[in-house]
Amino acid sequence: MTTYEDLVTAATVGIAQRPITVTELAGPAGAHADVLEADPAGAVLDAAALLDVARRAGGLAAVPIDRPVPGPPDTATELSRSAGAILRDVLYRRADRELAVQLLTAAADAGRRAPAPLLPELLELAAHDGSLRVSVAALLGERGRWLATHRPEWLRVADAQARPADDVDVWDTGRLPERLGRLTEFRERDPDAARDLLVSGWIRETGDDRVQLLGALLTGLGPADEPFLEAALDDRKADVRHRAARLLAALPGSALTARATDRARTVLRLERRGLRRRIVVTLPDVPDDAARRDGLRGASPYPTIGDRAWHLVQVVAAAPLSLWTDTLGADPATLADLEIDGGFGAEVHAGWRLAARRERDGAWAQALLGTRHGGYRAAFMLPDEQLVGLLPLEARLARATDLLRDPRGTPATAAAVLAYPAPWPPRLTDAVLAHIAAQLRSAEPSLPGTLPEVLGRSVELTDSRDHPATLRELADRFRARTAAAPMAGRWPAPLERAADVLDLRRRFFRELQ
Amino acid sequence: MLALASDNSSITSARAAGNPHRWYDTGASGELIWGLCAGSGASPYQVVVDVSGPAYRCSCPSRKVPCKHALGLLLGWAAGTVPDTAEPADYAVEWKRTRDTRAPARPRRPPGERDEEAAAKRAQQRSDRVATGLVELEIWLRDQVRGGLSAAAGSYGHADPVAARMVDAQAPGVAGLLRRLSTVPASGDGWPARLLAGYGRLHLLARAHAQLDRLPSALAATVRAHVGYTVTRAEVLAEPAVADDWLVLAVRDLTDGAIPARRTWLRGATTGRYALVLVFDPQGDFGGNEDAWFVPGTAVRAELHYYPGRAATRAAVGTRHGEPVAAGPPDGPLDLAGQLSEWAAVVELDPWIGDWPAVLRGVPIPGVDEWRFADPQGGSVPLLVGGIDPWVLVAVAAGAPAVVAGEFSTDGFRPLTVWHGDEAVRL
Repeated sequence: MTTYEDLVTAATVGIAQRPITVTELAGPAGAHADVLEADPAGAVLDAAALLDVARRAGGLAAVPIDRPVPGPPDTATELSRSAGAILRDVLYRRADRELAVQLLTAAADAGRRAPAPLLPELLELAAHDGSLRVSVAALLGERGRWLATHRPEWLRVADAQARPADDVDVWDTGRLPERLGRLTEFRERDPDAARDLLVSGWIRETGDDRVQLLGALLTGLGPADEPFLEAALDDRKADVRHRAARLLAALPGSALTARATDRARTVLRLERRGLRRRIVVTLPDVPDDAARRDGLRGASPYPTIGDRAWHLVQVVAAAPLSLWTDTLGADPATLADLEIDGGFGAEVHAGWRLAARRERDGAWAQALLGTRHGGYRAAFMLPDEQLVGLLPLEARLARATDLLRDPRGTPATAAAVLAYPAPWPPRLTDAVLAHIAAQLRSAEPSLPGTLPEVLGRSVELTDSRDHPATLRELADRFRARTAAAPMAGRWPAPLERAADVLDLRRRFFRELQ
Repeated sequence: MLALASDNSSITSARAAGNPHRWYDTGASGELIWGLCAGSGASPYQVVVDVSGPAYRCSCPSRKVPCKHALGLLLGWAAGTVPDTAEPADYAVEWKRTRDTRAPARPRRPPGERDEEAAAKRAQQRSDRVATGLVELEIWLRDQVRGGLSAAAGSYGHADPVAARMVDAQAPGVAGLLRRLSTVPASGDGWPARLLAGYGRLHLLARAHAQLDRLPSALAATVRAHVGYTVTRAEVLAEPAVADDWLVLAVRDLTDGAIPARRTWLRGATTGRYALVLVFDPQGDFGGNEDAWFVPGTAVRAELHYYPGRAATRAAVGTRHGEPVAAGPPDGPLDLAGQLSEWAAVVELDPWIGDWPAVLRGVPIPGVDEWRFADPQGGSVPLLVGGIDPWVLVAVAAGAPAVVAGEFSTDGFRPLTVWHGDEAVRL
């Protein structure tokens, strides 16, 4: 009896060295043994062919296997096929993450879940792009969460929505993101107990972990945290010290705030000459050890700003804003409009901007944005759009519509519009459309920038006017002007894309009805 | 004798080729003269001349007839260096026999039948060329088995020269099989068994081709298809039409070959027959050909014409009736026992077949080294997940049996389309 293995063994060495006589063949091939050639090599090939065909025909068997555990049933309605197609289009062809987040969130809010065929792609995208994680997690449904258990990187996406496990093991043995989530959640419930948990193991944490974990104290920050944070100002790791200083600065009435106030008190004073008032600057000293301990840095990190000017920025930024309204005796709008002596306007305004952001102070933000003092050099350290977000919505709307009235588009215009969250009220939509129409009439239109794109994404869906048609018409008219004003040629494509996005959003939301 | 040469350069070359030192195992018997001539390649050329025709056969790649080797052999014969031998060499006898059976001396062709005659002549030339190539292939295969497969261990491309020779011999199907075998010695454990299986299959194909005239016509067509004889679209459209509502089961693009190809698997709603529509496009975008536009999950009413052969699935699309319409999942998905017995029957009909369409009901089981596909009875086969996103299949099935269409082979099941309710999802 010759087996296939016998043939392989002989043929591998070569039958010239290892002759083989093919006799009977096993299985169904045996019935055809009479066709074997007399030539030994031919006989081996014949036998191999016969045995191989028999193996191919019957060699594959259904091997018993444990069937997998089925996923839990889903009660939520799956997104329609066409809604799924729109999502795919936005995620891949347009690669517009912000629009994707908007659609994903809307679908989850409407009680839908992602179409099953789209789940692996959604999980994969969200695993690599944190900006999608929460909105994808909300749309997974039971099936998606079941699918995510198959791969660790997908599980992190599914966990983005789940409450952190109330489980001491996570704190003791988990990885940093899980521990951070657990600590933050604990701070929300019981700030003091959470801080005590952190303090109990503090000396055993690595430097990098200390930096991250300390950040969790921003949640539920209170006076009881001060002794621990004050001690952290002496940490071996500079980033820990800086983070502790920032937290203390955000804590009203902390000793650090008092020290910062003392350092700043003599730096600015008001001077009257007749009817004119101005602010006079006394440059602060180079930071001493105590100041460095409070987070002030010795040398300027900006090549265009000297060390002394940099110290001024830091000292003003570290002081509470109430210091200035109290000691200078004027409201923020007045102070922001005052001339500043010695050419230090940019540094003082930069300091105020940083302080306004730290204190999330809308009045100061409005004052600083509303003045021409400070100028671009102050904005260089903290741009306008970061301050605009501090304004109340109504003020943001007023600021955006004001800036849009100027037909010369500036980056500030775009920043002001961007600071108003979608969806837009019709007033803002109209102001943007009027601005674009003014650009069309302008002798020298400016670049479209992100304005059309933001418009397409932000127009309120209850605003049922035919904006897509308007946008396409504007695109045509810009196109017609291209010969006269080359910059006009940059407008049609983004306007048409905006029209498409608006159409697409409307289709998607109809699918959710 | 030199008047037989097609041009003067052949004569010059023939004188060089006639150098007796390059010849061995020569012989002459009756009308046949034969011999082996050392050429530039590793294996010698087999040369046979039938002086009654005269007709020539040489395994060299030259397109000239007669080639310099044939003329050189004649020169040697004329010079008396070819001994008279009682028994002609096997390859000479084989060639003489196929010539006698297939190309009886033809009377002068009557006028008006010139085209048909010319076509027949071309076909004859091609099959002669193929027959010659396959004789060489047989010599090579036997050499491999004699000398040992281990000579190719770890190498990549050991069979490529033979594959190139098969292209010259107008046997592109054989060439493709050889090129795939070229990768086997570098494919990891157990490669000698896989290589020998491939050699056995080629040997079987060569043996079948040698007796093509004696095979039943469907089997002969199968052999010719695997060797790589082309069948023109006009010839296929002359086959009887099979009208049906054809459900599009799956589409698979093969882009790793020399010419990108799109395979579309169909199944007739009434006939239950599978059909394969193949489209080749050197650019690989398949834009210009309506046969490349089938969408899984739709059905189209059309007349298909099958290519001849056993277990034939390849078909040409003839008349279409109306536009494609949306269709639900295919009826009657099989379990693995049913599929395995269907596969066994198919291999019995066509031992060279690579894969066969399948509509199965089952669930994917992800694995680190190997994925498996389990049917509701709990049996499982390997799931071939190369080139697709198997997680879409997992997501749609969600641990419960789903209807899946794909390709089945001895290696396992390659899923291509899964039905999510009524929606066909391409993997």
